[in-house]
Amino acid sequence: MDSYDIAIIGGGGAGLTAAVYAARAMRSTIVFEGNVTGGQIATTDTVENFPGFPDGINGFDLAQNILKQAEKFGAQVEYARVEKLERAADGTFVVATESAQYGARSVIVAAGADYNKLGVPGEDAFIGRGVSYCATCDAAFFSGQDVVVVGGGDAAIDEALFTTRYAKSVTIVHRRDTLRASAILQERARANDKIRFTWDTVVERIEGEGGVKQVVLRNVKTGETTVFPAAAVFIFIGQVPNSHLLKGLVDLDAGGHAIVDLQMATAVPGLFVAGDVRTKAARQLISAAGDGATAAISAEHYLASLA
Amino acid sequence: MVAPIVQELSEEYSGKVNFFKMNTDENPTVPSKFGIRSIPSLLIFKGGELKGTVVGFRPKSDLKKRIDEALV
Repeated sequence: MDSYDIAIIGGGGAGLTAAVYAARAMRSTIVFEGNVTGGQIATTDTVENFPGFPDGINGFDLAQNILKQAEKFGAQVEYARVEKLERAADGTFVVATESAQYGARSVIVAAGADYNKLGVPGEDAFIGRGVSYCATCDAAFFSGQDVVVVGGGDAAIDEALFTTRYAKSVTIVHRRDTLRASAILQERARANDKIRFTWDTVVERIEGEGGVKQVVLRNVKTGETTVFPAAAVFIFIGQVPNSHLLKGLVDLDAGGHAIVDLQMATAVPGLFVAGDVRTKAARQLISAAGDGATAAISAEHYLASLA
Repeated sequence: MVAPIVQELSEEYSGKVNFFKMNTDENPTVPSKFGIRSIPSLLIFKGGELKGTVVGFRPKSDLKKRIDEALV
């Protein structure tokens, strides 16, 4: 079994930044990523609020740069999903993927969060055929067509704006009559001719044949339902933390986020948590990166204390 | 974005399976021919015939299973 000083579970903004710090501290470092390095940022078209990039930067490019930086200092990346995390009797950890086991003296869980589903009929059936959770990935397939975006936060508005590059019209369906998104995004959306808002409304059903043809909408105030023709439904209604590996090891809040202290430390010595998988108010790339740096420094202090 | 995993698969299946990638922005007719409305989409062909479609990110073991099924 290969053993490392620091194993990082998750290669998004938090995990990759932790890897930069851990590897640069000359600790043998391995990062496990089951999908795509960069996490949520990898599918973000433009990151405008990360310091140091006045003109914004493509999310995938930024993620690749952080990855390159981590690898330059010697971090190793294993493209495999972690199935199990266990603490051995001697206080070290065993990280198991589907094909191998790895030893680690310290672990940083930065597994991030997955998008929420609407949970309505037709949603699963049309994934990849009009139902999408990534406008940056899929909007181009709906050139000149009418599409729906569900949600009212930053992600929903940002992706709605991106989708206007291709779609004929973008209708934002939101269950309330105000947006949670930041003011600058709201302003841009309201100024965009292609964007319309349908307030106080939820999606009840997604229908079609071969692909999405229409959505059934319900006004939550009047109860009235309407059929809205659309070729695509982009869904951005929040996230669920990927904290299943931490169950039984660490305290979780009601939403399933890990509860850690300001050093990203858990009650388990040597086990740290960073990024969207933990309880926190700000869910931004910069705060995830900050968590990653803090967790790596804490892991380094922990390892130094063992010597 | 799935490139690192596909790269590993192309090495493991070297001589048995050929792997290609296509830029959907530069070749818009091909994706519409196969009804593709999401990336990443992986299509498995055998003897010129479509044997399977995988949409979205999947763990490597899932992809191997799908390729192995098509190889039989």
